[in-house]
Amino acid sequence: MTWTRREFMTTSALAAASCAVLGCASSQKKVQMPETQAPASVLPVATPEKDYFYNHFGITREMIDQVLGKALSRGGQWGELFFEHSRQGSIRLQDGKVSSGSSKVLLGMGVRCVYEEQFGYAYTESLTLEDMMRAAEAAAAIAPNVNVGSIKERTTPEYSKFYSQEICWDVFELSQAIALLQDIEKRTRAKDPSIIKVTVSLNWYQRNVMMNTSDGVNAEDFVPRCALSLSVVMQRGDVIQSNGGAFGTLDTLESLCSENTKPKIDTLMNQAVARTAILFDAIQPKGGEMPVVLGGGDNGVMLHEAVGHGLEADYNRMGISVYATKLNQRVACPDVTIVDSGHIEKNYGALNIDDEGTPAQHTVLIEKGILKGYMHDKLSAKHYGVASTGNGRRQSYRYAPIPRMRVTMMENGPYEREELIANVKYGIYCETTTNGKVDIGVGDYAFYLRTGYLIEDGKLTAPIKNVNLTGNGPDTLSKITMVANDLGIEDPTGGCGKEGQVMSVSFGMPSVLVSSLTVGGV
Amino acid sequence: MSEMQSILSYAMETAQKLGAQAVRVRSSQAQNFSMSWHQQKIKRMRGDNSSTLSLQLYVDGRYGSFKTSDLRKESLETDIRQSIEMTRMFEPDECRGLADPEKYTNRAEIDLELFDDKIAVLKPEYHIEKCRTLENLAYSHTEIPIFDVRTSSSHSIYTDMLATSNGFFGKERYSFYNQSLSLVLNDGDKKSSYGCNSSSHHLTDIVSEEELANKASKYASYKLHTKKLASGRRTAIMDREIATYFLYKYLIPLSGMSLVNSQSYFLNKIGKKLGSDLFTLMDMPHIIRGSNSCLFDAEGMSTHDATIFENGVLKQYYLDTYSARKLKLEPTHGYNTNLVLKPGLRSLDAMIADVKDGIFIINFLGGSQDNTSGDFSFGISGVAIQDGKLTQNVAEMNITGNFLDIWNRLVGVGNDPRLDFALRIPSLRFDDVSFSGT
Repeated sequence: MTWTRREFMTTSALAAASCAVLGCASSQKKVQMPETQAPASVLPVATPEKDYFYNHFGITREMIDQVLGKALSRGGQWGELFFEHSRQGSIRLQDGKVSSGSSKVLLGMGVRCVYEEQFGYAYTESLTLEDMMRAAEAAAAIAPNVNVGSIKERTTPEYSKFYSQEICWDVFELSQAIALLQDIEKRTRAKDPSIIKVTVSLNWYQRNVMMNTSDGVNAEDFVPRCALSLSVVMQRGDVIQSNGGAFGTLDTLESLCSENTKPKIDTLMNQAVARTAILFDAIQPKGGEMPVVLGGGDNGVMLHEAVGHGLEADYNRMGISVYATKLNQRVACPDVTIVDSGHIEKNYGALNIDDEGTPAQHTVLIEKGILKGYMHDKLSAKHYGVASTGNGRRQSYRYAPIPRMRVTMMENGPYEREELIANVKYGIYCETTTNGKVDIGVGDYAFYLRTGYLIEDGKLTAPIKNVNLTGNGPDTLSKITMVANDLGIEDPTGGCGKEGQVMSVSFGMPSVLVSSLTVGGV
Repeated sequence: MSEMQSILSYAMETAQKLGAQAVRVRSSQAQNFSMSWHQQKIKRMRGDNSSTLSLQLYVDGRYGSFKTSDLRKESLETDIRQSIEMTRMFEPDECRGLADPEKYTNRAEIDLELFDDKIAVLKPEYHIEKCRTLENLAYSHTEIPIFDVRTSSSHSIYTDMLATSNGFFGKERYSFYNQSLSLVLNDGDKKSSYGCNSSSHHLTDIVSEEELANKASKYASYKLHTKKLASGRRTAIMDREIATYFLYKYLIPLSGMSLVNSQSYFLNKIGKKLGSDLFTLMDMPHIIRGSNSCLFDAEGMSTHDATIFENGVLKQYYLDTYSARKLKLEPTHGYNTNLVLKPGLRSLDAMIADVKDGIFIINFLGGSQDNTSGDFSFGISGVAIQDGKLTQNVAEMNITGNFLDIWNRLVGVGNDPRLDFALRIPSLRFDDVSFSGT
């Protein structure tokens, strides 16, 4: 999104009461340990509308040939056109009423022209041939005007579907969604008399994209996305506390409002209330270096920050990442296997095909403690002489794609969670987290503990809250001494920001024991 | 009438024709050019134009909003119709509505000088020269081996219009130029990085390439060979940019919606002393060439100077019309414009020289705060201060406390706010702050 100054002032100045950051409170589901090979099963769903942009916006194959030709007219070695039409909506229940909502449409196309490791990029929000040619001319300017790049005949790659392809917003009865929010508010309030505010929000999104590349790809994808978030405020005496939870899924709004989702919503309500109530008793612990047990699921934010970003290939290609020189080296104990997968059905980070037209893979990053590979887009794949892993993603047509995570997760280890806790004399147990951050070059990272417990003599004791945890990625990996067998994969609703682009990603982790992290405290 | 103004009028008329009793429409057009540079070559080059239309619709006491980049008339009518139909499904909220037209009056009649003709005609060659200069200067400012330097230069021209069905119309045209530098040092097997940038409405107001290169080199060197100090309470000196971020985080719950949702440690704190006498903060929307200067806010309400804190006492919330009605208070502005913390007389170096045992914080890493209770905890890196001297570089530490407490510990304010920032906050000194390390 290109922010205007006014938008920046209104949304980012002080008006924003919350920010979309990775690990915003989320609910967790238990899953079986994923295989390191791509799952064979795919969703039996209808095929999305083929030729969406041809049918609705007057785009033709001949126009694409012309615009691609213009993009490579100065000798660009590779070019790509990316079309997007997305629609979003949201409703919000506040003070007992669903009294506001919003909708948004994004329509446009971007042109990229690559020459060696340089590229030119331009976009237009008018899909006329004239405007697209103008954008292509601007992108083409990066090339040295030596000759004309070649364009291969385009074919559509085969890829599996990992989320619903049913377009249903136009026919969905919004009153069902409004009734759902009202029901959630009523049932949440009933759970604790000290609740003074309940806010429930529902967001939905559908994204139609089409990729056409000079190396022979014509691909389309349809992405549906929904997210439900719940915020609870409680007052006991003069003390006010607030917390909440959320979950998202790549599915239709109708599905989110169906009976099938009720158990998940019940869990969301129970967790939001419990995690708010515990804050009245929770303390900020004494700070310092200590052993930390990261509970399964939500703490995958550590994995995302400490490992994931450092293994996105662009920063390794540049030699900046702290992992750039560690390929095929041992970086963790043999119990640690980490993958990044587009294949977790309906998960927020699932991906059928990336924004460069490469089918998304199930990519092994670290296998039994050995660093095996990075997450690639086409640029980095060419540099390393490997195939793209389908991690080339972009926020919208206004951006060029870069390597981004999908669902980054650690596989199960051999221990029970309780064994990890029993091994700690004095430390903390991290239950829910938010707001991760990493310095990719140095490897230092941080994430914020929202709720957790002290561990004293191998047992969970006093509840704790609101402390920052810091460490160094490779150092933390080497300090993971025990991995439990309780992998949880998250359905977070926040986004991951990188180079100004916010992306839906997810993560998963079993409980792990890190022998030492720096815990903020008083 | 420009094409965009014609679209804005069409959207307003269409919304009213289809049943909206009140409408606010905003259009935003931007022309952007950006270049990133690496190893004496253009790395990326971008040029684009974007146009966006936003509508806020008030229908039968109900409220909905709609935003689009698809400005074809046939799409607009369909989308506005659907948006109005959606809005009709919501429950009425008596607090929703356009601002009182009285608030549109008394708009200041001054030229804020937000547009620079020279930026509008910048050519790629100008950006190449700026990127190259920054890169060359970066290499000349440090004796530590440089691993990587990336620079960028960009400019944007914006035209925004705002109109309401109860009589407001305003137009803003402004320019921005931005240049940035990211530096990676490599000393032995240790790397450290630091990035800095400057952005302003006028080319002549930008922080010089020399100053950016100097700061990036110095601060990147502060991130090499770091250690953790022992946990304990000591003095914190925050560099002006870190102080700006820290204040920004503190003020987030000052917004109307945070207060309406009871998720604000500022709730019922107007008139209460929340900081030391040194903490006087003004909102100043009419600073000539100021980054966030404006004559009217997002609702069209005329802007004016306001005192947010005076000698530590909270004087004002940020309330738009809706949150003000919900809280039964008078609207102010819905968000901050330029914020100016009353500066002191001393330089950063002089402030550091006064500290016996402390940390000079140059970077926050992660962390967050609880907007209801005020608890905060941020990762930090910086340099230890012993007897007035910078000694050991530190990292992987945390600063932890409560926002309702820490501003009372403000004992020093520097004289060095960045004038290219909307938040003009000098370097700050807080005493007796909790740091955790080993």
